[in-house]
Amino acid sequence: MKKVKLMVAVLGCSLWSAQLLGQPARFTNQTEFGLLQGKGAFKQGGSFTLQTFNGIRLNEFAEVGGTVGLDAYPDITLVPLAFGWRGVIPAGNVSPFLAMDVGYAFDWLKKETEISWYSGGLMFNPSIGVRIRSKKTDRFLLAVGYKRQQYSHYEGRLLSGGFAVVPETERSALPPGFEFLQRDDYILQRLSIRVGVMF
Amino acid sequence: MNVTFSQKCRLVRDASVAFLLMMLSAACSDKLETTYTYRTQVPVYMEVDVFRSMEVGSTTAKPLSATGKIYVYEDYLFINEPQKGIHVIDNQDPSSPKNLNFIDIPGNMDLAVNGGILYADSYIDLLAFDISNMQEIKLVERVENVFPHMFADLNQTLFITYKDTVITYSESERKKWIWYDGMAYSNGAVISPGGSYGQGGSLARFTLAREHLYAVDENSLRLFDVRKAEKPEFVRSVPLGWGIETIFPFENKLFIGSTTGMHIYDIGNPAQPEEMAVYSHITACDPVVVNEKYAFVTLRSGNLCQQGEDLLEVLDIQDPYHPKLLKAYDMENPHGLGLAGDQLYVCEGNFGLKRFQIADVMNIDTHLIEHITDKKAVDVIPTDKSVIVIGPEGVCQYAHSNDGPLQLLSCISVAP
Repeated sequence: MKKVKLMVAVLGCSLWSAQLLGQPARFTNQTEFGLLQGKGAFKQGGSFTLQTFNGIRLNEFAEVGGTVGLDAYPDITLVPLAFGWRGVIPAGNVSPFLAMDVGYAFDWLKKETEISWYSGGLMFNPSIGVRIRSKKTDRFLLAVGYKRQQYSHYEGRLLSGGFAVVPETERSALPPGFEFLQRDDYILQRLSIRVGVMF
Repeated sequence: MNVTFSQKCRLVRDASVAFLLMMLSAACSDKLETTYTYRTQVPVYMEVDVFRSMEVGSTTAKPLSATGKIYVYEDYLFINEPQKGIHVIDNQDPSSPKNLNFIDIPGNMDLAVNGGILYADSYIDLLAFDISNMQEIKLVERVENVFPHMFADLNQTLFITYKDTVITYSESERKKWIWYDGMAYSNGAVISPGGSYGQGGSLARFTLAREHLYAVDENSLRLFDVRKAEKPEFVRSVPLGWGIETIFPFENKLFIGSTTGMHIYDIGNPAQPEEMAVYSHITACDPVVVNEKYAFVTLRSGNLCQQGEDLLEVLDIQDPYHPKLLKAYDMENPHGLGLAGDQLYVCEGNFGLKRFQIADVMNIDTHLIEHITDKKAVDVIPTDKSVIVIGPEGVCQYAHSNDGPLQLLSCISVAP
């Protein structure tokens, strides 16, 4: 499995560098906002998403770059940073495209306390859409996709009173000074619906 | 192959719709897996024969791995390591205490010292050690089967003890709440007091007074005659009701804190304690300290003590048959207490240690002298040389003066 991963990575990198060397790169930006629809684990309510993809155009079919976003879920607002790829079928005024963003979302915007904290998690967001040319070069876009986002919430209770004796080997299971810890591992699965503009 | 623009559009539309439907129908609901990790105690059965064959006695010094009760005797500190034994610390210089040795005592939770003899419980037995030479601590007496509440069978061949452990388990799609109920939290140890007696904390379950050793278990007061210090004799057991927590001697009285109130016993005849009064209140944990006129009781909420409030109560005990509540002060999470003249130390658990001036008992809250927040505090023993504060992270000592703040002298930390 490792070998396969390594081969894919090497192949990807070599293709990319070949493309970069082959022709002059052009910067591209795709900024979108929209909704993340789905059945929440506990709290219902729509989630709002904003993201911007900045990359270079390898050729008329492919773009690679980085994606930065802001996803406001009912429970938490996360900041995803991702590697982004866009594959385009150029076709006049309406060009279909595929998008893939894979990365990690951070919990930077969530307040933490001694007994309650969050950790972000992996993010995976494939989508499909169309880019619509209007007037000269500006393009609008519409895209739908699937967004999978992991994150964890920790909430604990500090030791109070009695001095618990815990065998050394088992101490690592709890942070020092805690008598109880609940870890909720969420996997959010949403339908992403976005509109945006390209520069 | 020529594909017209309208064909492309249809293709995209159809693909989009198919994609959307697939997502909606299958994947778009959140998943949650919850992992709970908590400390608890699991019952362990032990055979009496096996227990009595276990190693007991002095060994080389060991670092602290957990703190239990503390006892001060002359220039020595005895720190209980729950279930394991007692660390002996030379505390001649409180700013640099020396770890002398460790006494292996299986099942030990409490201790008291009487004229060169250390009493310690060991599961179902009471042990007496000669500590006149700290380099050569010797077991001199074992009083067997004096804590019979632990026996699991009628023949008294098996007893139950509890082992602290950490349990982790996971559940998927659980309703979201913090699940405390039903978890049995570890109740570890918590401290001890006493002419040539030493001094314990307000969380003690062992105390010496009037040539008797008084030990409280969950539901009774057990008396030992220690007129011959090295030969403690079990006298009797006085039933007290449930939830007995702490014992504090003052003059000819014993003040016993329970989860439901404070018992006052007259020990004018030390072998025959007589109940003078029971002051009842809401259910909470409550160590007690006392001076001539007043009793100071802390009530703590939290799972060990069921519900309750976080309070410091001041009771008028000038008539010990009719204790009267004078005033209750809100606290954060009070545990043990210590009295030194007109200063009261209150351990606030994770919130640190508070020092109050109590000359005016009706206005204690406005006379907070000091609040140390950087150390967790569970019990405190004010001595002439230093104020000894016990917490889950270790034992710290402070120099005290009437007009200045407490100065940290030293800390013996629990090894990570």
